[in-house]
Amino acid sequence: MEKSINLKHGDKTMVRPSRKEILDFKDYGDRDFLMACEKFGPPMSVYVSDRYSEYKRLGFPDWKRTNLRGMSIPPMVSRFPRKSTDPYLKSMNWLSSDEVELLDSLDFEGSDRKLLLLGDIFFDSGVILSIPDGSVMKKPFLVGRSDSVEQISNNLFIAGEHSEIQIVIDSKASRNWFLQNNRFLLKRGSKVDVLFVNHLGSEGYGFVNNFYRLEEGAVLKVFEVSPFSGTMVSYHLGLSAGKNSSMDFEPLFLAAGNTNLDLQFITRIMAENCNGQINGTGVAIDNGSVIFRGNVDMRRGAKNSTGSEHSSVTILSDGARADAIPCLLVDENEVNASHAATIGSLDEERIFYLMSRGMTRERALKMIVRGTFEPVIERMELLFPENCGGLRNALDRRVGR
Amino acid sequence: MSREAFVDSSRFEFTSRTDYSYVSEKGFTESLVREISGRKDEPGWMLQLRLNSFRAFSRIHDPSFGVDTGLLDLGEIVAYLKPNASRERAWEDLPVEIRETFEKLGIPEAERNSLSGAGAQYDSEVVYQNIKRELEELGVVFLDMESAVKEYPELVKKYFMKAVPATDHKYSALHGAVWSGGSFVYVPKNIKVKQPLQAYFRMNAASSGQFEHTLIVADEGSELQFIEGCSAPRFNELNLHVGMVEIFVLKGARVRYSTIQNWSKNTYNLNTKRAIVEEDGTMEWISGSLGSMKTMLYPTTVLKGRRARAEHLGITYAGPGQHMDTGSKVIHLAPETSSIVDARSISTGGGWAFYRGLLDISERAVNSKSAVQCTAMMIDNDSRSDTLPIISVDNSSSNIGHEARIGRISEEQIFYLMSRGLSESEAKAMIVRGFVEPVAKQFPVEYAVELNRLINLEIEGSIG
Repeated sequence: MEKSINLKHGDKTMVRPSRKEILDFKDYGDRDFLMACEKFGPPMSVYVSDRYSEYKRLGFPDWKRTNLRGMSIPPMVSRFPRKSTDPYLKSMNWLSSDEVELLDSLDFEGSDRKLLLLGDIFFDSGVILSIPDGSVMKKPFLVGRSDSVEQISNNLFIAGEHSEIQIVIDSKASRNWFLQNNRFLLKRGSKVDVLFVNHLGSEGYGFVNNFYRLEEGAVLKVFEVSPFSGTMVSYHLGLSAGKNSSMDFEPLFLAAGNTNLDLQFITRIMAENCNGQINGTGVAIDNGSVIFRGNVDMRRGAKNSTGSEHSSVTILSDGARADAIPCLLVDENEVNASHAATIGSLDEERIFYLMSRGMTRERALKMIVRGTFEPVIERMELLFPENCGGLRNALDRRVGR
Repeated sequence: MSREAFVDSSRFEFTSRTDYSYVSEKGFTESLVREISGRKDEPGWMLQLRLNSFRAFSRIHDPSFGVDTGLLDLGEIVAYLKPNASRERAWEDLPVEIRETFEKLGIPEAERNSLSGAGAQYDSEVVYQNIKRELEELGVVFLDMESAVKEYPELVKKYFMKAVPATDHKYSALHGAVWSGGSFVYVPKNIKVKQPLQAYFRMNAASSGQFEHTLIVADEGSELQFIEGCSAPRFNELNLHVGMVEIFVLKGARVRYSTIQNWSKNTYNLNTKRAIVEEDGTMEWISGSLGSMKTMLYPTTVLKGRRARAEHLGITYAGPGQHMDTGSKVIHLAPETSSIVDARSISTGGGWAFYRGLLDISERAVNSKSAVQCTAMMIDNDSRSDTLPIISVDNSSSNIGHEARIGRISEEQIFYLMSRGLSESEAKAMIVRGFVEPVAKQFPVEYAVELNRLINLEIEGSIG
């Protein structure tokens, strides 16, 4: 299992942070598990049974920074998946033994192990998308638009050697609870672009756990937009296992209203000549709060690799807050590893200038926020032109409501 | 390419034959706490503080972060060793073996040349304490902690373990229960102490613990520089250092606290340092953390008054067998406060340097500013360097910047210096000295020389 942090160095060990649990949480039980198992084929049944024994031992996390105490999980939904007409697509329920073995090999910790296992066992929708070697997909593959009732999904994306694909994972608006596990295997020389759009109802909770494994020469680009309300916990762990691979995470976030965002990005480099970048840009306004965690983890063997993280958060209201937790872990000396974080305030001179040109304060604020996000949206637009117009409007609407 | 580097600490690793008038049983018990208090003839309030601390120690768990203390068996530690010497104001009056120990460490010479006063602790007790008469006449108090408890009870009661309460963590509770030795400094209003005061701590016995308490109160408008040094010979058994430093910087005062930590490589150094800074006060921490087997140390500044400021400047060295979990914390509680953190580390020979920081800008700390910079140099590929700064901002008018960089000595730098006639090892040593210099130059010159001498890197090998 790929953990979020390595606590050992030679014969030295670091203390594992204690994991606190919420004691009186109404969890899924054996009956829910049996309902979930009804729809699985034999290999998948064995896989989820193993995970369920681990799941039962764990309680829901009682995090220090993101409070889940008021949260409840929705009733279990057991649905048999429909057959897909897409030749590359298959339901997660009926994986073969080999496919389950692959799924198991892409095991990871997630934002919390309990939440990850919940998605692995109790998912009500899930696909395995496997793009053959050498295929170049012309249109983005969309996840989450066709089905509005899904709340827990579990997906596996496999990009064959030298294939290319774009994936848009758009969690639908107005839902109050969702959890999503996504695993990506980028085979040798493949290129994958992913856009996440995280929508959520104002009192809602959303959890996204993503794991990316990159083979030699693979290239990954991830955009994530978190522009909406509720409590959103997003976790991305990219692992460069093959040399000359490259990953680039570019999250953009707006914590407005009472939004709580807890975003974590990890680039773990284990091979030569790799590149891992994290560039976060965000704004906290009203009573919004942001926690931005960026880990650059250079493991032994990452010779001549580069890992860098940068986050920039602007706080525009007195009620807003931001935490930046950048972490550099370096186990190999022939690397370039760096991080930088800034948390800045509202520049009253900029506001004054814009207001002196006839704008209201609200309009000036909107313009500053748009100016912060526009360079990222422009880069996003190059890869996902059909998805960005709506995003601009949505971001605009959230400021100064 | 092969490279080796190490800190030369042989000068500190000598043992001295010592007579003790009392050595406690191994381990920590309530009767030990009462025994220590009784032997020091302490007032009842201090005994009560010790007992409350011991109760807290009994119920608090180990920290859930930092170095693994699994090997540390507290039941094997001797908490209190009283050397057979009384407290003196002249080096000549000390027993020969103790005087020779401190002479080898260069303390009397440093006092003569560049200090306003010096204190020397040998195992559990301060054996020497002296301050220049003219400072004494100005009302500056520089005493061992035991004497201060008796001579200045109101001042000590007001401040002792108020910045770091016993319940702060397990080792602060242990410290509160068995503290022994350390210094008390009070600088009256508007008095500026030009030359530094120094305290030196020496552990001389195997399986022993040292628990000195340093309490500094800089009254309004005063200035003080305080230097702390420490060392111990190396034993096969584990030694434990659980000291505490509390500093109160009152309105408009300025304190600079410099440390050269050079405990031997069998020592667990679980130290706590905290300063509370009032309006317009300034606190500076200058740290050289070179010794010990495992260290957990995060000097903390609480900026409590408007326009208070903090500066943390530190170099951590993690050599063979060392796991150094060090860092800094700055808590901004008042408007227009500012802080600068510059943390540097060198890891080599399999050592692990971990920087752990917290910068907290509270809702009230409007218009505050902070800059945090971490830089780590890995000399070889067996070592590890990590940084984990947590930055938390709760208002919309503060500006915070953080940068960190970890890497090896670049080939271009070595090549450039070699093209100017230096050998490879000379070039590497020069680059390392340059890396340490911003910290070293903040120490008084004698100590900067000492720090540079300690980081006497011997680099071997050739570029293949």
